[in-house]
Amino acid sequence: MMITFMNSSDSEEEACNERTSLMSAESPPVSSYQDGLQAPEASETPAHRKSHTGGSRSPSDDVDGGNSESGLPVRDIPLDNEEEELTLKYGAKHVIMLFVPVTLCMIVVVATIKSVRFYTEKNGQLIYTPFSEDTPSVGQRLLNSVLNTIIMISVIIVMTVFLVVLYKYRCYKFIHGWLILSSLMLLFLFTYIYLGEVLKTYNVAMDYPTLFFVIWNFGAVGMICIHWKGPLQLQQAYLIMISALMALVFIKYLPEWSAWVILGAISIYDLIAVLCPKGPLRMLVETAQERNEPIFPALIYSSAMVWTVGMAKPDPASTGCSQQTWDSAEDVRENHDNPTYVDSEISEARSPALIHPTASLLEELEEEERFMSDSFIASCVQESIACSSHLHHLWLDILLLNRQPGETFHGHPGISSVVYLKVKKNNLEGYGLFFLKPCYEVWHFKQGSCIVLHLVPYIFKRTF
Amino acid sequence: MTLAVFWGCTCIAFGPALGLCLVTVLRHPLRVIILVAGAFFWLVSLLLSSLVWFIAVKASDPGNKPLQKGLLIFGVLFSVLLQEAFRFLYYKLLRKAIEGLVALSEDGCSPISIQQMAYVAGLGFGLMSGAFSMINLLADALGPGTVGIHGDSQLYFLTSAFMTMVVIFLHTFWGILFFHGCETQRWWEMAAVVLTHLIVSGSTFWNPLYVGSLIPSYLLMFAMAAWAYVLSGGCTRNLLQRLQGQQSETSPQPGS
Repeated sequence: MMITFMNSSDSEEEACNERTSLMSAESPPVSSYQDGLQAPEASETPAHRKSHTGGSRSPSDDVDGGNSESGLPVRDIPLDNEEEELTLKYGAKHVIMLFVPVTLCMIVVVATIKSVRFYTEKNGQLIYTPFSEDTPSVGQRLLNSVLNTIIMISVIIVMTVFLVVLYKYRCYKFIHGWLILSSLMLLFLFTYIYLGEVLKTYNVAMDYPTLFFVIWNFGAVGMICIHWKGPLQLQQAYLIMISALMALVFIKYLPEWSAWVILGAISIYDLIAVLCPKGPLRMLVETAQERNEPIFPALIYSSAMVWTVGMAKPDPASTGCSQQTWDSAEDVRENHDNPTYVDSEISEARSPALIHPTASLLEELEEEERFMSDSFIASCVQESIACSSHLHHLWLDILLLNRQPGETFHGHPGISSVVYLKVKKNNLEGYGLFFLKPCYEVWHFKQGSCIVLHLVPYIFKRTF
Repeated sequence: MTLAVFWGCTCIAFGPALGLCLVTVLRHPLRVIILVAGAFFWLVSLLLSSLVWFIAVKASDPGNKPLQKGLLIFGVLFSVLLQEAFRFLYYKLLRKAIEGLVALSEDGCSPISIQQMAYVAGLGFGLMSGAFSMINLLADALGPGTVGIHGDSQLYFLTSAFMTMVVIFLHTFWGILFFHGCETQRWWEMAAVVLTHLIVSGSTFWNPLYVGSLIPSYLLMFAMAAWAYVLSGGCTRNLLQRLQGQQSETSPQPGS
């Protein structure tokens, strides 16, 4: 029997198909619970399900629910059993899919710290951590670090609340403008500094024109990949690089004890912000869900994405669902009032795109990739902004780039998973909160309640 | 020391284990999670035991060599016992996890059996243990210096690498044996695991007489391997048939 299991788990080696475009993190309307969901799925799934077990099943068994609702872009929420299975399979596989980028990020950070002296030289502190740690006594140092933490956390709380307020009052252009500005800063300025230090370390001479060329290309492609469309892996790579840059800045500017205390405090804060009913992040998500809008798509790390492919033959079902997925993306950028205009724009844009055989397959493929967003990018960017004392006027970025709560189902209209999982009857929720601080990753699944702290870079710093 | 030494020692110490990992664990998300969690458990046990040793050392006279040596021996003993205790704790956790997985699955069968978990958990323990044994050495191997220039053994890196490899394997087999003992209520299997662990760790005190530590460890490793193989349902007939490239009727896989 074990062989079967092993074989089956071998066989479902789904590579996440990279048909990509930047999926907007949608929060489509809460669909009605369909008790009859089992029936349409029953035809295709039993064999399918039996062969896929454990933690790594493709979510295509949920697709059929979507298929059966022709024209209805909303994915039906499966019932209890399937919900739980979904969570578990979603959890195991996608957790692993997130191990890789986080590990890569840590490798980059550790490699940089080991080789480039700049990031370990203590050269001042941020204005957010005004208390110095060069104190004679241990108690004083502890006190200073706690005070630094309090200041930092209050800054973050204020910013988050400000963000929620902005979002509530629909200042989208403002928010997006700042989003773009902050990622611009990340991609250009921090990369420039990083590149400069690396070149200094290895004593490589580079003239300014070459430097400009390199950084311009890097930054421009990064902006496009992150904020618009791009190959999945390139987008992932950019997000990893950005996170690593953030982490490095933090390592440089945060004093040690403060860093540790902030680590603990921010984990607790994040849990509170997302899980408490009045938590700012929870309110943000709920507002987004009420309005059926994505939540700042540009800053979510996607482990898999889906092209919204065009159809040779306009099929109402597919265009319906595709429209849904694009709609929100366009919505945010354009106005809400012209869905028809947007629609025609989309269909035009996609007619030269890939031709997909069938509508149902389209939906299936769109559903196929379900992935977690993690907000480590956001938090890293946030902290990078916080760190940079010259850029205190970009505090809003902290706001905007604050942690994206939970996981989001991308692609086909799936509800933002925080909300989706919230509405599950048996209250089996899995929240993934991901934020990559300089040296740690906290991943919290309410179901399993594992907290994994990767302290690798700090350990390395000590042992090497 | 050279890059060659670094790569050589890395491959000796971690090659087989990483190969095992790659082939059996890394493609299955659930097993990866169990592996990482197992490594984490071992890490916590090491942390606690090292805390105890650290406090003991700080509280004692640093100049008294026999005392320090005695404290080290005590530290190792305590660490071994704590590691096994954590293995037991991990077993308990995995048992609960299996119940959860069974409840969640649609056909009442857990996607992973306790034997597979035992193997993966043992591997996780071993990998983390190996990492902590070798990482500092490997880091030093990258830097300048000569091994044993002050009269110590010149084979230090090499023997450490071999020792690490054998310890990783041992942890894997201990995992299988231990979990089997817990499952079938055979306390003597668990006692055997603890005892052999103590023997292996104790034998390292014979270093730099490396023949005293490596050879017993390898012999014990082969013994554990055979025992684990038998417990997992294999038999010599299968093994011979496999070695001769024939199909065997009964599978040497862990039984359900």
